[in-house]
Amino acid sequence: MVNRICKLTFVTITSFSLFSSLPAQAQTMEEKGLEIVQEVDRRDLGWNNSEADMTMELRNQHGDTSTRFIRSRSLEVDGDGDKGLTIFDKPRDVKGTAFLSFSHIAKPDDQWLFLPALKRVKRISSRNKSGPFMGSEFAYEDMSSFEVDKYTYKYLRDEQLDGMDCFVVESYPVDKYSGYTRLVSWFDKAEYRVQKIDYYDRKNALLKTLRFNDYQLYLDKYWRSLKMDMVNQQNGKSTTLTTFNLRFRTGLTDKDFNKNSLKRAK
Amino acid sequence: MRGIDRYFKAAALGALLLLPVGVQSEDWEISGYVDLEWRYFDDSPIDPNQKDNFLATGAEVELYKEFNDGNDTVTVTPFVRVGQHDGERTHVDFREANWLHIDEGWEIRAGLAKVFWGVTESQHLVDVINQTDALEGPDGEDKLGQPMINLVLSRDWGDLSLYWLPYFRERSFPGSQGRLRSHPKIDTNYARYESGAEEWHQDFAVRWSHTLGDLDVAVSHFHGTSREPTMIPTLDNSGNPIIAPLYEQIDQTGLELSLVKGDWLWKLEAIHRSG
Repeated sequence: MVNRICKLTFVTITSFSLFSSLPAQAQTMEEKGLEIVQEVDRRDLGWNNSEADMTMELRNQHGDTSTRFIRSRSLEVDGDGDKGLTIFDKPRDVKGTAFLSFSHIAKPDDQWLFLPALKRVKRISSRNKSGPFMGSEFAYEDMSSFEVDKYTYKYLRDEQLDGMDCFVVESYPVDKYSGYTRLVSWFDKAEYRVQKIDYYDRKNALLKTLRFNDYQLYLDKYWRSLKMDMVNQQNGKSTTLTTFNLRFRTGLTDKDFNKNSLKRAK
Repeated sequence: MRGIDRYFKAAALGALLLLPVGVQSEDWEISGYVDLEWRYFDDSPIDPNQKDNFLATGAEVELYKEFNDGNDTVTVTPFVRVGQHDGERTHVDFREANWLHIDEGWEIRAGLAKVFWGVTESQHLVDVINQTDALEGPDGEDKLGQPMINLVLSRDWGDLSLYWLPYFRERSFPGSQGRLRSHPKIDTNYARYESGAEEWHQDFAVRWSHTLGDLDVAVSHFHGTSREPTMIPTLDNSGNPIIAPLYEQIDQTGLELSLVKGDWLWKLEAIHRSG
């Protein structure tokens, strides 16, 4: 339902801008920013569900690395944020730990953690969304599913990035508990894929830069970056998230994303 | 229960070494640990039979295998503890030995299994399915495998879990040389039951759980033999004072709530027990 409203709004805005562009009355930068992001979102609708194996390589300023192996399952939810289940395989001391999250647009995400040593499921607070995910340079909020209404937008400029024509859009988190004041994102004009994000901390200083590499096309429609590099500009640490063996529409349903399934996630 | 006080006054010093092990072979996933434990009690015991120093070693192995695309699984988890002095502490258990079948909207588990009910961290009021392994420690966190058939129905209105518990397992207690025990000691040879069926009394339980936004809620009911014995001071056949465990029939209704409000997690466990 909300999806339809989003689409309607999108259509309305486009027709409005076409109409109003005749007397050379340009749309505002905010409207243009929103329009770009809505197009990004629209192009990613309908993937339904996916599963992937991932590695997370953590690097400190001296170049020491450690690697975590995780498996992720995602379910697209109409009109709300996606559902995700993350299972940790390595290192061995966290093996079997599983993380279930229901992302939401307008309210805090619902999150549960399964601890294999205790064999218990615990509800956890999602307020601390700026905290690091598994000790990496990714914060919980960076891992949460992208939803248009989580931010407000402003188009900044057109710019070339690695030879690609890009839109540069600034986003402002709606949630006051976000760790960021703003994000600056580069979307390529050809496919509306995010190529780079600069994250600015609560003091409005550049905190992190995320680059999206190795884009692959799935189901003739959905682009996924298989290598994401997050560099912390303040402490020199970095994290590379690499995706292997990404499969779409594997038959996952709501039933695979509840507390009961979390308990027996292996 | 004068002796129980000593449980908590006694200063215990322990060293624990854990060695995690993991192997993958022939689709069986094998993991486990071996531990080495040394316990030292600084206070002298009330009963001169009791010792101050205890060396022990233990191991737990989990064998896990999936069949039918993961729709059927088998889990077998043997546990062994070998301790110095107190012969009672040396014990073997199957924490789990069960088969689980997962289907669309329901699942069934049969065999020895471990079930945890509750939300709070240190005191588990609602948790009633498994017997406590009191030989492992006084905190009640270690549990014996419980024979059961458990059916779970997952519906839009929540998960409904039904349990048939065909056999009851007695709680074990430290022997005469063991530490962290009452004085006089609890003698399990004199265990008594309210029900004539004794450990074969058929117990049943049901639990409904659901998530309503920020609130996780569960309501449960247990009908059967209390896992927690009432302690009766008495004399053994030779006329020595002992404590005999009495296992009564109870009906227990439990409520669990867990509410997320910002940085706060509000948790509630409440029970009503009769019988």
